[in-house]
Amino acid sequence: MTGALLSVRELSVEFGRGPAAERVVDEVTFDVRPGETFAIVGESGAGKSLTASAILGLLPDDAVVTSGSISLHGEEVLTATRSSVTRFRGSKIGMVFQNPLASLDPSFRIGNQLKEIIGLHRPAATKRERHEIAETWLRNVGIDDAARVLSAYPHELSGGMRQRVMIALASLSGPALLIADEPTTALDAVVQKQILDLLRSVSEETGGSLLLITHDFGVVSYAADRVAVMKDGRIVEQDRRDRVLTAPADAYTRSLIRAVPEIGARFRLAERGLPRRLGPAGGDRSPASADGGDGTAVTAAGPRDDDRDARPPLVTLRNVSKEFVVGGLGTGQRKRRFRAVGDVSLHIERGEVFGLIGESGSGKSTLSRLIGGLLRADAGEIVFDGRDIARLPKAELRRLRPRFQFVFQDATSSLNPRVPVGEQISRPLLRFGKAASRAAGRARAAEALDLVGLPSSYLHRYPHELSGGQRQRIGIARALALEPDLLILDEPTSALDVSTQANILNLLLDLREELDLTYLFIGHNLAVVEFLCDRVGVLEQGVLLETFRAGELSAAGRHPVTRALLDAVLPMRFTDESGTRGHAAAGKADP
Amino acid sequence: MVLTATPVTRSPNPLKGTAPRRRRSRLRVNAQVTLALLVIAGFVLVGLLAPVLAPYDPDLADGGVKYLGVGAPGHLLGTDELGRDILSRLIWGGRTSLVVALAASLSSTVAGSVLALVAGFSGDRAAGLIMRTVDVMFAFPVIIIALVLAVILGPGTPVVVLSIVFSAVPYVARVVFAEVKLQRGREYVEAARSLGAGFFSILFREVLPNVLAQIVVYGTGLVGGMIVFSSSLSALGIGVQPPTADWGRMISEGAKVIISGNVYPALLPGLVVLVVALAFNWLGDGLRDVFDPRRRRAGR
Repeated sequence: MTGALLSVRELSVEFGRGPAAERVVDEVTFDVRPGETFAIVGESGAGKSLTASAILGLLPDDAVVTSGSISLHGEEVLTATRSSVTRFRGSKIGMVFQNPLASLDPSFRIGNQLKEIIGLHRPAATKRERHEIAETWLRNVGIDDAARVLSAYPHELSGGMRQRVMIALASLSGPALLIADEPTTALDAVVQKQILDLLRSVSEETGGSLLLITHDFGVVSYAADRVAVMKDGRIVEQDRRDRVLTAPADAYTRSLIRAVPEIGARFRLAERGLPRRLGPAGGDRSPASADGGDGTAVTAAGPRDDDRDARPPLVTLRNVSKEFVVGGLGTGQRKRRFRAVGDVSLHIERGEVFGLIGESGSGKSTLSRLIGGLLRADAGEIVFDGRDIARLPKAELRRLRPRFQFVFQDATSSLNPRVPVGEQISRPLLRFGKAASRAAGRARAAEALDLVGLPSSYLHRYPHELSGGQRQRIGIARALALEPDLLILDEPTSALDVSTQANILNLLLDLREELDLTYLFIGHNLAVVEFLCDRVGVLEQGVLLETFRAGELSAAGRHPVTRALLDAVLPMRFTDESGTRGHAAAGKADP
Repeated sequence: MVLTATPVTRSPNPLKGTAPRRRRSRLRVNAQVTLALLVIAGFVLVGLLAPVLAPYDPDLADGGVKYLGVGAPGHLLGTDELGRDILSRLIWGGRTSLVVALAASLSSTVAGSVLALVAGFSGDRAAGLIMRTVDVMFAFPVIIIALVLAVILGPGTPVVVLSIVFSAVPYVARVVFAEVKLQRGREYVEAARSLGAGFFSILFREVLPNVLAQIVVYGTGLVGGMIVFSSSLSALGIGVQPPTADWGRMISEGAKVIISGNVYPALLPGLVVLVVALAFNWLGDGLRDVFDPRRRRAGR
């Protein structure tokens, strides 16, 4: 096609050489037109990041481009010399990475890093001019107190701020193409939307195109003009965004789209009498065929409110507070107290799914650790099944531990890398006398694996031999093996692919019905929380702002913080062809 | 542009094609460990069989055959400045040197690691106490410790071992402490607590397997240096007493006659120490790979 800014033709990338080589990008062909936002969407391992790396000439050493061509402005990239690649990398292509903390140099001030790059592109600029350009760009990316940020180190900024700085760094040379690789995956929902707005407005301003790499169809629907769906190194479908979203041609695309949780989805499913499940299990299959189809599966409306209230609450919190001391000894700062949780009172009914939501730093993880007995409250009481665990002696608290179990956000780091997963599951069983012998422990561990849909052969595997979703299943199995009453789920799906997330959420819903569990679910994506939870509590700065039933999420009178979280959920459906995406939220000024 | 990280996923399917690769790399790792163990076992065996293998009494000085070169008739590796047979002295010297180095390395590694593990998981105060004590040990001159010990225990191998332990423990403790602190922040520790694991269970069953590789590598790396270090104590007269053979002593005594052109008395024990130290380093490297399930698989 003529007129394309970036043209990728039958690009193949392999790891290794010879017959053992592994093809990770397989004859990928696409064009990015001037001024458009083109998204490559796919799950981890689909080859989308490698495609981006190939465009930048940044493939890892053991990856080889075996065929195809990449041209930018009609100029071949693959055969270019090293020095010319370096030149166009900076001036014609800018790159924004997923983790801005890893891509900013931790030992230089933001200002120095910006000015260094400005110096590369405009060697003639004086020191003063460079400073001004840096300041202007920080304002361009919506940073109001540019002076402070210029003299700050990367670790002193929030994740959203860092990503803004990265965008400024990548786009200040006015590149024709800006590549953003999962630019919002590490960010809060509220910040995610702002960054996407910013990326689009910056590329519009510089007249450049945006190549967006993501696993999230919410991001695609919000920001992309055209989209290519990748699976196992191949592009299975590419078209205009609205075409792909509303009438996907490929089955894989359909399953991915259906896996995205949406506000109100459970109630729409309920209206149609379908079970509350995401993805293929939830879609247009008949309720009888879903999940073994015993016909009694609770429909999406979920809670059987009537018979639940008969039992006393499982957990009751009264005026719970927790402070941390920060600074002091050797940090060069004065000690000061930081209130992570302030005066929180709530209760969790038996058998319900209670959701806690808030932005990062709102205290939701601290609160969950107080309820789970990993931290001690400074004040207030936490009554678990009639006993105040905030004041329980250590030994008694330990005996109570099997009854409330955690599933952590990062399944990778919450599993011990040096211990086979079977042993990680059976160790606590032996500890609490739930298994009499090692053999019995293994048998119980195998049962637990079966519960989460993994074969017992996985007992002997190490965590690194499993995929992210499998690891999280292990984390759930490990907790469930102890037969807890309460399962505390600390953002268990936020590090996972969308379809994996759907599987885990479905699994959690299945298990709850099977085992009469109570969940405390912590999340930052309101769509996920609404889909899973019966009641939701909103935290901000350690204070519980309000609690409400999931069905009342969109009701009038919700707290502004709740509304902000609701607005942050990226909508999946667009009727307007041109899109009605507002970019005002980026809060930018003219350069 | 700041391009410091390349976020690239290695393989689309983490489980695909791992089996043959794992087998191959395990063999390779095992070969490395086996070779190192063979070399070490060889030296130990020779030391054990010293009375049978050594052609001469190692302490027998024969003024008539001073400074014989390598390959001299009757003295395969020549003789030293007193006319003692170098081969015999190397064979006998291995006994003292290996015992001292192994005992010292093993005990300082164990002691340092336990200190570091406990410090890493105690409160700020206890950790501070342990690590500041370690700092004091750092600053304390080993020679003075050795002299005091020699007065109490009388000169000999135990004094050398204890002095070396005293000087090596701080290094081990520092290295392991840094590693333990890193592990302490990992979520699996918190997960273990939520699963009811107690203090010692977390220390030795959860964290230790994750720092063991570093400990082993550091510990095996100590061995070579310890052999040489023990010789300097012996040279002060508080360690192994002359004329007992010991590789470290042989090097330091041989060093004195190098200037007159006789390199063998120092060179030969030096080479032996080099080979032993290399073997232990190899062993450490190989064991690290054996311990690490990821390396076992990736093998590159």
